Order: sequence, then structure tokens, then C-alpha cells
Amino acid sequence: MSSSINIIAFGRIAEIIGTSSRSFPYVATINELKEFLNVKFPELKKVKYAVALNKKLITTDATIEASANIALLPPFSGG
Amino acid sequence: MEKKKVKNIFVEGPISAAFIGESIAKHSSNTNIGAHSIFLGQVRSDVLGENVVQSIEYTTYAEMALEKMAEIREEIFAKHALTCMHIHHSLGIISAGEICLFVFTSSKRRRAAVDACTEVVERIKNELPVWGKEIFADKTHQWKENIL
Repeated sequence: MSSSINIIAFGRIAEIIGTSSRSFPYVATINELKEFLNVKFPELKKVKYAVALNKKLITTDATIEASANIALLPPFSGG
Repeated sequence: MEKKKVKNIFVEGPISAAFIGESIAKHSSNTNIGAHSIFLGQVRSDVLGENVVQSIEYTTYAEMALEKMAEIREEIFAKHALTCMHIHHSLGIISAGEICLFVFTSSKRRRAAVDACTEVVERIKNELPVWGKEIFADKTHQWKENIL
């Protein structure tokens, strides 16, 4: 049985992955997720983005729980 | 306990001068206030080569942005002697020349209102997950990035 994780993306990152919300095969950590995404979407390697896990920015690495909310955030440009 | 509430700061479309005027007028009943400070962000028509920015389309990760804004609000109130603070940020397409951010702080004496206003504008730009897509006259676009 395979499980998956849901990811939401914004701005330029949503353009690169082609949608603002989709699911990917489960990986255990944020770093593994980034490696997976970089292979699947080589364009991502050229842009800056941050990852939010359950609405908090991740600065190092973190474990992904089954029900985690993961968001890919390009540099902010509000105001 | 006004400062602890998670308020929605987002509004669809531009912020009108009438809305800003009404917001100011609403404060006349609070005679403890001696100073207001207001910041208005306006969509700028940047020129990039042959392209001119016509509008900016704003999107956000609302849940995260509002949680972060509540945290910022609490810290600003703890640091500055404010009477109140109101923040409105536009979403959707805002044309050049229109207002997209309205920050309004009030206090008994001017220093708190002015300092809090400056600080909260910087924090909004640096810490809120909001994105501006600059749309050019020829319908191409580029993603804006705030300069720290």
C-alpha cells in the first residue's frame, strides 16, 4: 500500500510544478522531499523557495507526519 | 483583548480613498488618541526594458499569513504603547496607482504610532506569505521579490 503527501505551492513554484495543489509519493523528511522535487522538476533548482510544514517555516530539516500540511513558498513580495 | 484576535487583513481588490477616510473618521470618538500614523502602499508602474507594469496580482497562503500576522500584532502591541492598529492588504489584480496596503496605527503620543507603523510595514513585507505577480502591458508577467 502506498501513501502520499499533499503539497500546496504558490507563485512561481506553482507555475513550475504546474498546479497549486497535488499529491506526491510519501517521503519521510523535508530534505528527501526537496531531492525528489528537484529530480522531478529540474527548474526548481534554479529558484529560491522555502518550505512550510504545518504553516511554520522549516529552516533545517524535519520529519513529515502522514497528515502534514506542506507548502512550497517562493520569496515573499507582499505590500 | 483586541490584539489577540486573529483578524482577516485581506480584502479583494484595491483599497479606496473613501474606505481610508472612513477608517480615520471612526477614531474621532476615542479621545485618548493623540496621534495616528498611516502607511499606504501603492502599485508602482515599474519599467523593465520595453515593458511597463500595468498591475500586480496578489495571492497569499491565507491560513499561514493570518497566523503570522496575529503573532506580529501581539509583538507590536507588547513593544509599543498603541491604542489600536488596523491592517488591510489587497488580493487579486490591483492596477498601477491603486492602493494595495493600508496600515493604520494610533496611540496617545506620536512616537508609538510612528515607530509601530514603520516596524509593522517592514514585517508585513518580510514575513507574510504574500506574492505579487507584476503583469505587463503585453500580458507577460514576472514575480516580484521584496528587497530586504
